[in-house]
Formats: sequence, structure tokens, C-alpha cells
Amino acid sequence: MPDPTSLEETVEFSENPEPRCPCVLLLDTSGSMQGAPIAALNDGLRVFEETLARDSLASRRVEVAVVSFDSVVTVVQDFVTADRFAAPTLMAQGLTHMGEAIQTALDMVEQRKATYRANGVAYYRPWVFMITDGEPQGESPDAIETAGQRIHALDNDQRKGVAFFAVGVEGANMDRLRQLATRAPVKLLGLNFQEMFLWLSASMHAVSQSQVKDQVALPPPGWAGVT
Amino acid sequence: MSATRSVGRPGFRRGAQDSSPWRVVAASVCGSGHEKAQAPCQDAHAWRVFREQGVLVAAVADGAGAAELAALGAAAASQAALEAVCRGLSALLPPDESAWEDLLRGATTEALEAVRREAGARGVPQSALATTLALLVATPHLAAAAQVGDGAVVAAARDGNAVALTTPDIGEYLNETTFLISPNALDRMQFRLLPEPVQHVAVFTDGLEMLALKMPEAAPHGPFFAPLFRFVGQSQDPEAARAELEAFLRCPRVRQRTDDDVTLLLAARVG
Repeated sequence: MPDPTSLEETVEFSENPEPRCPCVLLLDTSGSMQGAPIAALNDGLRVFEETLARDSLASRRVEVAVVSFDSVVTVVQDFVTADRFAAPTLMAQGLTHMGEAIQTALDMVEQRKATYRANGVAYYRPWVFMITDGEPQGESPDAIETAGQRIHALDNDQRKGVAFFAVGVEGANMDRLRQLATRAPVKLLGLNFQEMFLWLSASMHAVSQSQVKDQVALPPPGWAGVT
Repeated sequence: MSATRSVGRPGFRRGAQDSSPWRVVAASVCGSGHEKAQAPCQDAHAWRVFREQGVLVAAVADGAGAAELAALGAAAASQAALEAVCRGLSALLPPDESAWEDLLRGATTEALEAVRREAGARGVPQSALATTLALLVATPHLAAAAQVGDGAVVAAARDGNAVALTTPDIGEYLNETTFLISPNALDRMQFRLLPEPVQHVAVFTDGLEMLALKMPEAAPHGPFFAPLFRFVGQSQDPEAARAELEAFLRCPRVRQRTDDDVTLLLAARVG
């Protein structure tokens, strides 16, 4: 009769790198976000950090990057695993270079995938999660047009290059967002960033633990209104 | 638990493996993720031993669709495939490699048809019963395996060196694969025949891939399989062995690495 604990003690596991689930937060920090909106967004980011950190598998698998956009596009945080993610405190000022910001986020996603492939790391479809309270401002119409075309080319059922989500805060031009992204944009109820980030971390949890064929059922958003 | 065990043909003595040419231990256990979501185990397995011929047939399926129905899809596919292979073997063993491939492709097709029938009978879309399927036949002379989707079939000859007969078919992303109901499933079916006697086999679902295989090349990790092969080879009481395998699949070391359903079917040739 074999010792009941023998399998657990004797079977050794293959050392594969943890699969990764990349997520870019693309955050509008233009002047109109000043005051209550940017404060609520910063609080929401801290909720995101805390929720992911409590989730042992997600904190090793989810990789978070933060890009802010106003008159300049800034990579506030390049990809880090969620256990090393520290929520930044963002300031609001300037115009809304949304097109350039989208290109930056999509470039980062492509580069990250290349890095995963080069290192034999398995990965999940990347997410770009854009939050804005306005519309493109201060850049050429071409910039947003090209960015929108790139989203449409990447985020579809054939290519599946990325999943691009747009969230509009009060004042956002929802019609522009509808044209921009493949997926219907979602309007944030008030400044309920906390609920939104709780939903995002729950979704990241679901994605990062999904094995090949589970349908990733995301919790229904309690923070979104009908657009 | 939707796992199905088929122990032998009529006349085979249930509960004892002494007289069988193969010792088989298999378990499907619910992942912690599914348990949290109150979903049933969506993996299924089935196997049969032909004593006189010394042949083992095994099928493992991993259901993917909506919760309860995925388990049905996996059970229907693994049962139908097992029956089809056993029917095909009842007269003569296939004479050559292409006949073996035909046999396993035919069984995979029957599994797909069973899934479609089940979906039709319940009035649900086929996608609700999406499932993968891995099939293995081991005779005293060879081992043949076929697979649609992820998971893998691993075999070891007397020298103990484990080789993957099939490997996980995954897309660019880890959470994408081919299912029986996928439009190109039969074209994507993997098939491999190992023209030598095998001493040990393992068939498992994707929940164990990262632990059992060196990815992305999907090379079997020897120190994973060696103790398991030794365990099944030495197993005496089938129920106790299955309980031990289940306990292993539920143990914290495994659960820290995967919260998916996992199925592991192990077999060792006796003598």
C-alpha cells in the first residue's frame, strides 16, 4: 500500500513562467478632470491596487501599465505584475491627446506580446481600458482617425489583437467614443471609479484564471449607466 | 463529478486489477475556480481494457461551454469516442498507421456527432457543449493517440523516457483552443502513432499542462511523470488508488498552480 502522501511529496512540477494577462490603463488627465474627478480617479486606482494585491493568482499574472494623456502622453507606469503595482497619484492639466495616447498603449501591448513570445511566456488577450471625460483636443483630426482605425483592425473576432474598452466620465463625448472603439463605450455613473475598478479587478481575476476554454464571465457592471 | 469509468468487458472482475493486462487509475476533480462558482466538474474520462488482446482504450474530454452543459458535452464526447474505438477494434486491430488514423478520426467524428445530438435534443446551441477530446489506444505493440484541443497524451516505453504523443493545441492566447464543434476541428486533429510497446501512459486535461509539460515546446517533465507511473504500476486496490490520485490533484501544491478542473488518467502495463 503506497504512503498516502507520497504523490504530493514525490511528484515534481515543471517550472514554467506564470502566464501573463496584460492590462493598460489609459487615463485622461486633461484640465477638465481637475478637482473632484481626478481625486476620485486616484482613489479608484488605489482600490485597484489593493484588490489585485489580495488576489494571489491574479497578482502574479496580471500585468498593469498606466498611461496618462493630456497635452503630453506619459507612460506613468510600464508593465509590472500586479503584486508590484503601486497606484500613482495623477494631476490634471492641459488638452486631450487621445489619438497619440491610444497609439502608445497599442504599441506597448505589441511590444509586451513580443517580449512574452521571446521568453516563452504564455499570455492572455491584452486589455486596454481608456477613461476620458472629453474628446480629442489639441491634436490633428488624423491622429484620432488613425488611432480608431487601429483599434478596429485589432479588436475584432478574427484578429483578437486586444480588447479595447472605453469609459466616459460625465462630459465625455460618447458619440466620439462609439465611433472610436469596436466595443460600445460605457458611461460612468457619477464619479464611481471605485466600483469601476472593483469590476475591472474582478474581470482581470476572471481572465487571468481562465483556462483555455472557460468562458470568462465578467461580473455585471454596477458602476455603468445606459449610454 | 461527471467522470465515467468503464471497467472492462463482461467477465472482467470489477474491483480487482490483478488479472488485467493494464492497471488504470483515473480521476477528474473540480477546480477551485469552478467550485467557487458552484459549477460542476466539466471534465470527463472513460476507459476500457480488452484483456485477451492486452489493449487499453482511453478518452478524456474537457468541457468548455456554459456551466452544466459543458459537463454533458465532455461526457457525451468521451463516451461516444470510447464506444466507437472499441467497436472498431472488435474484429481486427488496424493493420497500418493510416488505418489507425482512420479509426481515431472516425471515433472523433462520432464524438462530434454525439455532442451535436445532445445539443439538438436539448435545444441549445452546439457551443454550449463545447469540449476538447483526447483519445489513446495502447496495444502490446504500439500506442496511437488523437486529440482535438488542449491537454496531452504522454507515453513512456520500458526505458521510462516519456514522450508526448499529442500536445496542447492553443492559439495565440492561453485561453483559446480548438473544440470538437470548431469549424476546422477534424482538420486540426492531431494524430501520432508510436510503433513500439509502451509501458506507461498518461492522458490529462489542460489544468495540468503547466505542471506536467515544459512549455511552450510541450516536452513532458520527467520528474512529474516518473512518480505517477511508479504509483499506477504498483497500485493494487483501484478505489484506494483513485482516492490517492484525487487527493493529489486537490493538494495545495497543485491548487496553487491551477484552479481549473483537472483530469489525469494513468495506466501501466502489467508485467
